[in-house]
Amino acid sequence: MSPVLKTLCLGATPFVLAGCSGELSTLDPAGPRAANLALLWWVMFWGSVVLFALVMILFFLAYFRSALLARFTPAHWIIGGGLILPIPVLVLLTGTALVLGEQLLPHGQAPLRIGVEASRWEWRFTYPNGVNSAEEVVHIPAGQPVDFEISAADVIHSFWVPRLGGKIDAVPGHVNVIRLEADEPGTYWGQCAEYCGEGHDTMFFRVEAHPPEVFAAMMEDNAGE
Amino acid sequence: MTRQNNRALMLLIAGFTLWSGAFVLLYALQALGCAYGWGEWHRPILIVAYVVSLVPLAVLAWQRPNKTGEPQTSLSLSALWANRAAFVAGILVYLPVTFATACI
Ligand SMILES: [Cu+2]
Repeated sequence: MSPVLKTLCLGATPFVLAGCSGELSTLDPAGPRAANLALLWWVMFWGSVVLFALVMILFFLAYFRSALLARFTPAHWIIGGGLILPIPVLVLLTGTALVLGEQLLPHGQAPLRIGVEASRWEWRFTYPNGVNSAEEVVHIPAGQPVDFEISAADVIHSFWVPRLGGKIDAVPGHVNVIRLEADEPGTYWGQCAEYCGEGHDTMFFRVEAHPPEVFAAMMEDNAGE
Repeated sequence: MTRQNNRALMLLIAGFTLWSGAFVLLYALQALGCAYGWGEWHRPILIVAYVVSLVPLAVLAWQRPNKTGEPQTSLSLSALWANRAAFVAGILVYLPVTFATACI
């Protein structure tokens, strides 16, 4: 490897690792729904690690201890590796995804519903009292589920706050609902997650979670304006 | 190609062709039920569609690709097991329509 290439590769490593934490990391969940998604990710990750290790062990045995594997017939490999191994793995993963996924859904109505309209290339939030937030910041109470009713004005965008939950498309003429919840007060970054034109990469927004009484006071102040 | 091979070949593709048709049907019923608001009828319709979808797959899974007296070929054996796989895949993959949340 050339020195330049080597320096580039080594230099890029921290950027890759930096993807594991930070403002837009799904692996750094800050609410119950994001925690479900992170858990699903870890289940899949460790599942794939175990399977990969198993395959590699068989691979090395085939090379270095081929006598050990010689007593297995092709039928053993087909039935064992093709049916007995993958079916429970797939059933388990699908079951996990179904159970964790069901818990993400907005069953019934959350006490607070906030309207979201995406347009190229900004986000506009509307509180229940009719007040709009112009500066691409949305305030929510911490520790409570909040339903976001999401739509778009022009093209399809996607609403995503990785540390609070999954993402959902913002579709013109249609309202999609996603329920998010932050465990603690804080700032959580969101990003448009569906390519929507040249301003897509800067289509950020912020979710500010406050203690419920602070949030209630903010709403009262706003309503008077 | 002999008549026996012809039949086995048709049976080989029949199971998973029906499987994919049933998949699209269940998907459509789920979406249409939400769009048109079938309410409390939605789930029973999905469950009935689930059971009905499995009937032709079950018939194929028990269908012998070679008629009595005809020798078993690798094609007929493949057809039999492909159809059994389609039946089991149907039971398993469609199962969530009977309980998972359909509309939000
Ligand atoms: Cu966008």
